[in-house]
Amino acid sequence: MCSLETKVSSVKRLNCWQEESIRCRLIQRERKTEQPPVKVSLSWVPPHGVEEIIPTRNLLPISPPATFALQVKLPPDDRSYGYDRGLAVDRTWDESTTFAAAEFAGIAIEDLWPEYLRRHKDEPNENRALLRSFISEITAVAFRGPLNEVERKFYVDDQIDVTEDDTLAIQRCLLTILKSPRFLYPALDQDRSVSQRAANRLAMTLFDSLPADKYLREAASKNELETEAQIRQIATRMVDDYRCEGKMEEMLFEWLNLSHIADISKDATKYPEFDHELVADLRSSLKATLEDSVIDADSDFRQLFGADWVYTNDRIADFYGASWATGEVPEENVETIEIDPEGPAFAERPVPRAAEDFYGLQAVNRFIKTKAVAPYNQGILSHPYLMSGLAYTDTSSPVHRGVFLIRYMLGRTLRPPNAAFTPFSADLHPGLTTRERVALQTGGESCQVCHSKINSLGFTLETFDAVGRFREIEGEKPIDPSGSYIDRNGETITFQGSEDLAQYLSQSEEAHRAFVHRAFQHFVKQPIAAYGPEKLDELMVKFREQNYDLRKLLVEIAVIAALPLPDQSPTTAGSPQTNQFPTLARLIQEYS
Amino acid sequence: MGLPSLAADSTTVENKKQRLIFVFSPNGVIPDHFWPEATGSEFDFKRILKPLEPFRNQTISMKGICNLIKGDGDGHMRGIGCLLTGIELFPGDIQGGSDTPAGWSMGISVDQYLKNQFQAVPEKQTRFGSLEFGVMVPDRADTWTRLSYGGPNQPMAPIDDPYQMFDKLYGQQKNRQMLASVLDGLQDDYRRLSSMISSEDRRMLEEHLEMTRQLEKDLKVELSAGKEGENEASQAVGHAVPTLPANIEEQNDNMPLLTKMQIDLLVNGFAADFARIATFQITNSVGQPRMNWLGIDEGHHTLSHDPDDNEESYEKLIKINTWYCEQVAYLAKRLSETPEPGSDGSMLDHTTIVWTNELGKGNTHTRMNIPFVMVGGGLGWKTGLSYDFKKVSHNRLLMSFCEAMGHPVESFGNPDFCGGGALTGLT
Repeated sequence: MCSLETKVSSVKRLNCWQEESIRCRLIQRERKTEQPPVKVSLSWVPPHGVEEIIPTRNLLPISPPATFALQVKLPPDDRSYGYDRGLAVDRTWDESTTFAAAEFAGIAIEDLWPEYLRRHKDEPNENRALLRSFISEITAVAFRGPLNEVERKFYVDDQIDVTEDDTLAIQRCLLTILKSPRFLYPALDQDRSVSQRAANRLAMTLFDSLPADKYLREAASKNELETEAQIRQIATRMVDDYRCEGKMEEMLFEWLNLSHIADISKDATKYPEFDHELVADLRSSLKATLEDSVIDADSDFRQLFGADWVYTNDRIADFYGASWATGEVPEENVETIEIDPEGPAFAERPVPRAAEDFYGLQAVNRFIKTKAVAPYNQGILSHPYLMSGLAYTDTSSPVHRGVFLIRYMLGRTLRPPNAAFTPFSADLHPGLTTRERVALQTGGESCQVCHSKINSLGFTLETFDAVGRFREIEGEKPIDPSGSYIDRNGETITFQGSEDLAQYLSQSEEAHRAFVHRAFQHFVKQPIAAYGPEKLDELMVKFREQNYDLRKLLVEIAVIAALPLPDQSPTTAGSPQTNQFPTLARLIQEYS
Repeated sequence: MGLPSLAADSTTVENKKQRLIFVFSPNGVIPDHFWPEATGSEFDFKRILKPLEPFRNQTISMKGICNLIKGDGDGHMRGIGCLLTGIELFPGDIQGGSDTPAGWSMGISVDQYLKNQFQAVPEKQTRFGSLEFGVMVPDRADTWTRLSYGGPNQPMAPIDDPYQMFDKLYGQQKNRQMLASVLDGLQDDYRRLSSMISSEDRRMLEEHLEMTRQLEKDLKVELSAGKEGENEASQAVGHAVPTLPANIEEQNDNMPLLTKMQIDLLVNGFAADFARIATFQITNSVGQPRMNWLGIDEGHHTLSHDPDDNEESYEKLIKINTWYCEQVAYLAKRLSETPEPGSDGSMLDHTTIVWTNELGKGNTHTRMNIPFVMVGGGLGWKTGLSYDFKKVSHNRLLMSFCEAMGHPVESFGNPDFCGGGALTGLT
């Protein structure tokens, strides 16, 4: 018999902070004849995607500890503040936490408790002392701090003493612990040490979870998170964790409004080749662009509007033409990942070595990082996924693009329209370009209050059609991509097209400020003004000094969130967090 | 033998079981192919309503019911958020495609109101009181994804995963028993810790404590009903626990199967008397199902914005709405085939399905002539009829639901829209 363990060790879930690991053990019977070669492939269907071999970039070259993926569905958090946050007490939520607690108890009974017994088999076990210490240890992690006497009695002893059956006792204990206010309400920690509270806020901000990692718990218990420097040091370590990376990705997708344009479909007669597979590839390509330009270490936010590379594959090249060509790549350059079992639990994605480096293992869906060719060299602005998402099925939409630029890229507010309008149909105005049609429909005085701002930004992207393909004429008329923007200081900036716009956004303090503001809100789930009127300006200075590096920005954001506030005004979070359950399971293993 | 059943005769109006289901489908309808031309009993079934024709004698079509609620929120948000609540939305930060941003509804929805009333009456009490079903509801909580409200600012998340619903209905009994036994101690801890935090969070903790108290009461009802219910249900229905096909993922293309699974669970749950009130929310307001199985590749909401003269889209919208109607018809069929436990007739005779929508028509966002089509005898109204009320506020219909279910109200939602009271002449 021979045993092969596949190279797949951990699979990062797309657009999600949870990790999932799969271990495959392949047993091949011994043969007298020559061993035939063995090939294994592992595919998945990512959200909004199609089935594909799991790309290399989603594999981590580490062996993480076994983890627990909660199967119970927890309802999503309230969005009525404009971002996800648990704001209200909700029966459906409450019920699902009961189910989640029961599910977790199952894992504790099957895996954690036998493991604990094995590790402590030589220790005395009078009056079920081991069970008591097992439950106490779990509780200390779940409660973000040591138990007091009242808690120990109710959450541990009372529940254990009800029954002689250990299994039943664990079920009772965990149900009680995981339904307790201490576990469900992260802000209930005013009686904890300064360091413990800093650890709680760091974990909440950067992982959406509780501080269960060994280094965090140790730092908290040794009171090593009392100064700004100490907090900064540990936050720097935390931002390299894949859970934080997942949260960064989630934030970028939210910021670019990609969750709302997940389902792009186009007029099938006009664009027959614009199919589901192409959309999935474009999404992957944009995702790779985001990772490369903002998420990866030492990246620069400004690259979002001017990266000189794109991620492409054959399907994208077939549709978008020579500018997206993949070029010839010798097969031996296909990138593989080796597991380093001794390696650290943090891992970077493999760094692309050259423009020709492969992303992905499979010929049909390999992504190649290649030099961006004008006019597709303006980062996300010239990316077909975003441009086709911000368009109608058969025409571009300067209004959607303009609103997107003002609201999200520049962080300005717009008054909502007086009513929902159906856009003028291109068929009814055959002689007009999209620009002319939009100008005609929004020409009224009351419309122009906002549309003078919206249109003049949106028009600059008119060189990209409904599928994000570059064009110089529409019908028989040349495209006019000129536009302008009046900034907060009242200064008018004019653009001759998307290149000027991209240039402006990458340098614009307004755009940088909008991004910093957004990042703070997404990670801390609080408006930055709640931490002091000067904080946004301070962060802006640091963002600039640190070359627009998102990870470094997040360290500073986490420091602000973790430091005690002079007046205690905002509590960092009031909502029960979905990720607490898996984190609890994963880290108790590390703990024992 | 051969004699009329005395038990059946004794089933008077007072103790007749009544059930109510609100089925929601989004983005308005195509009125010309939806509303019957004629009123009265000799009405016609247009293309969209055609699937309900076999239930002609149990159907009521109510044109002229209008959602007149104004205030914050775009047409879709007010459409769904005020549909069963009859009251404005709170200010909030959820921004739609037009109008001002808004938050959650300011009041309880009629299904939850009736549930509370039912649970307070021993002979109407059931294990869960109400069940909130969904089909392909997006995993986010905003005004567009919530139909049912437990109270002001208390949106109820529908369960759109059939396996999760199955677990709720047929599993978890032991866990809930265990929970009931520790709730007292947990309440002590909530009280102890609430002194520690800021006033805003304390309010939340106090609400949680209050909910825990309510939960304790409900669990008592549920657990005692569970013990009796088990035998009764299995005897009466003959198949206490339904079987679901395995591993059906929540994906667009599985929507027909997911809908069927959820309907089957709903019928089974009602047959076992787990609840007598339900909502059944298909996708969400501005829902974007792509009905590939009908040969339609575009999302529903996108299509619903197309002008009427776009013949292709118009035709697709008729097909999409007909598909929703088929689901209502399947639910009606399942209920009509299930004998009413402990009584004569079918479950449909004791159940009214109310099929509704957040808009009258998609491309105008009008909330005039909100679709209200009913099937079944739960409300005890005259059926086999088509009405045109011209223009009455939908609050009055919500009041009529309360009245018909035995819990009349002075007003429902915003009293300003309740003038004239419950609709008359329906029985």
